[in-house]
Amino acid sequence: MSAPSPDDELVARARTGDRGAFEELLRGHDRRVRGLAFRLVTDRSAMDEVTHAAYLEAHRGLDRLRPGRDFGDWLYRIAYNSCVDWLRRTDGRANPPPAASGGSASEVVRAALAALPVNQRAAVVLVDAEGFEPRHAAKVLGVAPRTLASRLDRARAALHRVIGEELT
Amino acid sequence: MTGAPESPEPDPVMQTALQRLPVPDHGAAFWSDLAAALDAEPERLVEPALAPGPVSAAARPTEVVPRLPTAGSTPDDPASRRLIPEELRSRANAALAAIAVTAMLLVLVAGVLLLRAHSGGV
Repeated sequence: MSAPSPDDELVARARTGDRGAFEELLRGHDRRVRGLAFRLVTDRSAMDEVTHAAYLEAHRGLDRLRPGRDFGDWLYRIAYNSCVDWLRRTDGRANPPPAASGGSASEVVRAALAALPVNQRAAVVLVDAEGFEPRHAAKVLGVAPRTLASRLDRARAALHRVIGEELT
Repeated sequence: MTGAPESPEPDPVMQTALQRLPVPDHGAAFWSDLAAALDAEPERLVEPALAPGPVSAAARPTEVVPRLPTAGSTPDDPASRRLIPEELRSRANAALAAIAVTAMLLVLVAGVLLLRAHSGGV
């Protein structure tokens, strides 16, 4: 049995309707959620939109979080789903990133990420940008470790091609 | 085909490159907008599992990662979650009832035929 996480007490309080506890939970994970969301939707206002939707959805679904399950992992999964839904709705074209060639370093990376399929983007963002262990990232995304590894492999290869040419 | 290893090593080049894309903070109104949206949500009920006493299997929470509503559905509208739309439901019920009656008649006829065959054979 895993040791109780500091979030467990906050989750229990939030389930009873304690809004302060819920907001504390969100703020505790917000940096990583933003990191995932921004690098998936590659736009600040879209990041706010998907994060807002994910936090509301987490509030609605809090009672369905299995006891002992990590709140953060659950929240990242909801945020990932929110990003996928947003990309599907907008066809990923609502905020086209600038062309990779000739841009600043951040624009090059942004465009290179935006060119990846979203599942590969999520894999490389969780592992290489957010520092998740690959097995942990697989768990967050709800895929087998081998699937995650394969997506990561393809994403890195594609990014190396673009980023290697532009930034080195 | 060898495929990717299950536990890939960290890639320092990727890590450095992705750090070049700084993550912005939320817009100024993000948290106040979220608080207003949470205020507009229905009041939370106390989780039954937190109440003292045994928890029945039916009351045990099951873990579900909520899916966000897709375009065209309204999150709080129970009608959007129904499998059969309201306008089709009465027709669907009538069809099911007709199938059930037909099945009962078939069983009855088969039973009578079997009985007759049985008594005729003795």
